[in-house]
Amino acid sequence: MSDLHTELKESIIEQLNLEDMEPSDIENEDALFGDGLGLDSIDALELIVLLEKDYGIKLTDPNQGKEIFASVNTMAGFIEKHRTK
Amino acid sequence: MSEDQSIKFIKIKDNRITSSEGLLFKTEDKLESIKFMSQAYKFFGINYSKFFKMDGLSKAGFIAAELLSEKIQLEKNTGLIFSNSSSSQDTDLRFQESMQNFASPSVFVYTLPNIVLGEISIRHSIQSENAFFITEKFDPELMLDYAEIQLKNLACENVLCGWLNLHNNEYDVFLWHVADLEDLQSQRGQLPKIYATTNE
Amino acid sequence: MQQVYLKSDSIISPLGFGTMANLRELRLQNSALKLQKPTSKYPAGYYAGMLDEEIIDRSFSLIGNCEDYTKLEKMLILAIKDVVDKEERVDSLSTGLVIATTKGNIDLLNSNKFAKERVELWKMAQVVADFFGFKNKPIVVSNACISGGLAIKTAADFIKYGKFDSAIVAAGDLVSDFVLSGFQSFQAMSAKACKPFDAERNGISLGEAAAAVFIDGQTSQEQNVEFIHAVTTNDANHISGPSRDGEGLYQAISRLEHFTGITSEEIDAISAHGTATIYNDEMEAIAFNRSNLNDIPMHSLKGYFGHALGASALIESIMLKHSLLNNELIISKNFESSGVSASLNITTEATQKKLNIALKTASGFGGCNIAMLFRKTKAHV
Repeated sequence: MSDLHTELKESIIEQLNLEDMEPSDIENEDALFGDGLGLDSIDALELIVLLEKDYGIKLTDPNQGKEIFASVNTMAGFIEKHRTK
Repeated sequence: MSEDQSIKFIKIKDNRITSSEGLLFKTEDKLESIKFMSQAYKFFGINYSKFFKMDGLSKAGFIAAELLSEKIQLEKNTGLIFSNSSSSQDTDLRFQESMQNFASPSVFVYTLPNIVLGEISIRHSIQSENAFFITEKFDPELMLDYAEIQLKNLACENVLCGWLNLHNNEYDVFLWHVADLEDLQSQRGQLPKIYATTNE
Repeated sequence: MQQVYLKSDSIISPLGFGTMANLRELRLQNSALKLQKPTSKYPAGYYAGMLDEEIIDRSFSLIGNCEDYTKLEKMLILAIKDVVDKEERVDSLSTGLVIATTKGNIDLLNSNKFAKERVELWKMAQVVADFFGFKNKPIVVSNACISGGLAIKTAADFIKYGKFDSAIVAAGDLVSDFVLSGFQSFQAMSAKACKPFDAERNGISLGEAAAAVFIDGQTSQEQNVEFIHAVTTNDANHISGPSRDGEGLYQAISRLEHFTGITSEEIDAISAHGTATIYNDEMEAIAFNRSNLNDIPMHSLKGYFGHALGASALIESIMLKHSLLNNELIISKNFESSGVSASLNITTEATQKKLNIALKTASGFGGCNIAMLFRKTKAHV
């Protein structure tokens, strides 16, 4: 597992107040929304803030989020391609 | 037991949670509200992961409603009539702080006092009347007057009333249940006394 | 049961001061929504309905000292003053004051221009009450975007049950950096002026405004509009997203019809919430269809005023009252082609039509919904 994956899991848990979870509870390919981690629409918005704050990526179309935030893997892939910091 | 103990209530103030039956939980040290509510959550063995996403006001209202729901039936037709003095000010300040860098949507959503009515409704599947009033001080007559009309109009079958204030991290929570019109009339005049009593 | 009526009213908005000035602009299809100057936070600018404080002060200086009151207080006072001047029955002892707002003087949160306490909603309401010398403690309703409607219901309920003889209901909210940042963080701000129910809608536009109406238990000689009843519900789905099937709003409408005995066929016009977000408008369309209201002429006024948050349902109820009195359907501005999955009868042409009963609805964060019914009474000549 890359550092980025672990870093992402840690910031997801912190930013989204998933207090009862550990990074090891989240698998790279786990669905973040729906039946997986059970995140909701506000969490999705908070992940958009996370992308901008930590990686300098500005999402302008919220619909893009669906694919990017499918799992930690898809998020990491997107960040590696587009990060500006 | 004195007569007024028949009012089913939960009071959270000064590191203590009390009910009509006495002290339920306390911490030795004075904790900031979020920490105190989290300790209470663990102490009572509540399992509801959305709790951690709530702001201070919603956490306090959620715990009080949770404890009351062990004594009374919160159901689809329970009206929710709440009030406080400081609206959502503690969360407003947190949101304003986040605005300096990246405005936080998960903080913004709690910058309205009535969000806690939604949290309680979701948890207990309540779909009835909602009202949130702002008054300088605890004003049970206003809530009872409004509750009485809703009961007379058959808009709801019973009412959960609440004073739920959070200001500079000081919490002052008093939730009580109105079973019906008769119950409501018997509560008039008694509530300020119960609210003011610090239960040992 | 005693009946209550909506009497004199006033709207203070960027479109004008006074209800008639606002109604005239609506008939001319003018909107308060303008592209605001770009700032560091909003490099492309944003659409909003903004009211210049200098313009407020021009009117306010005639009745009070501009320095002593916040912008929102001045707007509320101007609206109430307009109503008080027209109503002989307003009485400082027996008339209640109910004020609706979501954020009140939120622009003071990091300002030292006024005492800290002024940011408290009860304090703002007290300042407004004191201006007029009202002796009853003002009641503040702060229940997200249904506040303005809930304030009418609160006042009407209290009059019906004898707490007040009459009441002034006032509501106001500002377009502040606070709410702008919030709705932007929600990705809920429309790039253009908002387009309620339209296929190209993509979010809200904010608008600042205040309004007031006198609610009275006594009828008068001229034609009146009666507040019949209102129901609130919580859809218990999500704190920021309505249930997809419109259950909360549907419940509010169906319970209201049940309590009043008024059926969907009897309703002549609907003033919807219509914020122009994808989810809100879709939810409303579904709820109206489930209530068999899809053929009833309907509008959203957000294209004129923007979303005035806690004031919107009061402004829209006042406009609905005038629709009833004038037998006039107001065009739903910025609507071209339907972008909701259920059919609705959105008004696109100014129409004269006999109107008797109208429905106002609103929905807000925290899962709250309100449905209210108004009816025109016959003139007693």
